[in-house]
Amino acid sequence: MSVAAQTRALRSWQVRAAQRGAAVMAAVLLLAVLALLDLGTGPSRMSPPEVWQALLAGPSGANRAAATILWQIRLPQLAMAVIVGVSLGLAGLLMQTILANPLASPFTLGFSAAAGFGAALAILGTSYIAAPIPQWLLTPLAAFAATLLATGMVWLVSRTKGASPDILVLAGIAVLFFFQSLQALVQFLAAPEVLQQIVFWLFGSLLRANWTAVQVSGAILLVCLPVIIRDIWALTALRLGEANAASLGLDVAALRKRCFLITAALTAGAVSFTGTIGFVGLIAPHMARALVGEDHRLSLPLAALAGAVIMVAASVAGKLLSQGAAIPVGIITAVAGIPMLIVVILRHKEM
Amino acid sequence: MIEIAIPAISRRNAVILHPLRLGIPQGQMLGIIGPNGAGKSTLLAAIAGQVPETVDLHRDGHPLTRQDIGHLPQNFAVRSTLTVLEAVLLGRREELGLRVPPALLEAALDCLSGLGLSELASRPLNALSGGQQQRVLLAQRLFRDPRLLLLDEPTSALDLHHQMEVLARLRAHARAAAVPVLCALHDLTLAARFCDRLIVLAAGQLVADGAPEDVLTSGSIAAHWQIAPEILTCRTGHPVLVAHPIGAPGSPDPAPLAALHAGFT
Repeated sequence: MSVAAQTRALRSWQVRAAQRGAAVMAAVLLLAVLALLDLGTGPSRMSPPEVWQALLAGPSGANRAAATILWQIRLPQLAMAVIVGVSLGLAGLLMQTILANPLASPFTLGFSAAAGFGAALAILGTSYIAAPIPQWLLTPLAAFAATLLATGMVWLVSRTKGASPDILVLAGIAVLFFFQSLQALVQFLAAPEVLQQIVFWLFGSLLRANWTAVQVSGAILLVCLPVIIRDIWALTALRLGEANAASLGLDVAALRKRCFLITAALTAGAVSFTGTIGFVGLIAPHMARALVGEDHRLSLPLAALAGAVIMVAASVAGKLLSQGAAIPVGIITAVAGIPMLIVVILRHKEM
Repeated sequence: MIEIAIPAISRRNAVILHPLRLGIPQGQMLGIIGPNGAGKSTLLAAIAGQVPETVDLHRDGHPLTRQDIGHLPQNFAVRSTLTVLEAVLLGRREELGLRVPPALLEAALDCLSGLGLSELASRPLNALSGGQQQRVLLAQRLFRDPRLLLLDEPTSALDLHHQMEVLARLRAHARAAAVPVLCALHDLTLAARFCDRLIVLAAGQLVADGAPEDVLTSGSIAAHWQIAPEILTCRTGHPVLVAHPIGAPGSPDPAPLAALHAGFT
């Protein structure tokens, strides 16, 4: 074979690497612009110079009102939007890779439904008996516990029937319907004003974000990251199909179980404080693969960035569309998500 | 020398592969032949460690692990959009970091070039034909440079030219890297031409083992493949198999041949 063909191949590899690096940089830049926009929008209508000054002055700035709005409301909301977007983007891509299924996401496989049930149960419970811990902490804890319970159920099924993608997807769908039904039952039992609280939680909103929530969700994300990075090439190899990956010395079942647990932790960390946020975990991975392909060194960071971009954009849109009370991000992502998904499907026939 | 001991392998209460032992010298190209359902793929999967049963695998007295084996299964089809070059690099995924070492990249390109695949390096796998995919995945296994190569019908999707090229390349690899290459093959003429040794499996049992000319007799072919064989010798001295349906006008009568074979074994 000619040397020219080899040189061409090497050149094309380098061009591709540069293009994909540029895609990641562009996503970072877009996220930065959206983040500034997000800090500058809100019901209080602070002018950009005011926002800028409050940002520079720090949390204990002289202008108390501006400092409080920026440092206790807008910044934690922004941080939460980024963490939730990153977590759901990563979780979605991991799920789609280990299950070899373009429809897999934390939302479609019941994790979010489980979190919603946990939260609804906690809200209903505290309407009858006073809880020893504050409501804003109890609800996320219950959501987190319910997500782990759902993971445990899928895990049990995979223990007895094997961790094949089909079994995991079927178990996930069963979990989705199970927790959706329980959620409906809780809503049925709840008094009207409690029902209103539950429904508002299920919308998924950044209004509940505070620095504690940011720290907890951020810590879960940070713990998961090194585990994901360690498996980055193994995940890429899995795109070749189970038989091929296994014959490259990869323990596919172990990889699948490991990633499944990571996905559960990321989802639980993301949705416990904010409520159900759908479609981010489904669309972000498709966007990432469309832009940089299936090399997980790039598709994982880009899925994370795409998730963050979607979340922050939804937050800005929610505040701009309804000046008085921001529309919850969960509603925006669900409404905007469907046309986005269709565009991605039409542009890329290969999933 | 690689030594393999496989226990009985059963699925749904039926034994699909009886216990067998094999010793394969370094650099030997070993063909595994036999009719459909004889256990060829099971044998390769078992050696690759992809059955629940424990298979004993040693190289010069030291145990071999799954990492030491390059196995190309029969159902190789991929839908991935990874490029050919990325796929080949994955053959040595253990050596890849967050950056791909330049030396490894060059080695991968050389490997592609060795199989005549340089032109395809930047193409996504799902845009390739079945035969091209098969050659790319073979390149990946060769790039891995394992201690033992197990290939399940590596020429099943290839045209005649590439069948010859791939088998010649595999034999050269076996010699140069001093590793045994085990190939399940259906084309008996090609198997006889490129393999140093053939084993015949029938109904999960090892029924013949030896040099191609000793194993591929009219009697054994008639008995195991249910055809009336005609073995010719071409100008280069290699045997060529012509298969006739049993009982077709002018074809040899397989009954006496099979009886003769039964007398030998």
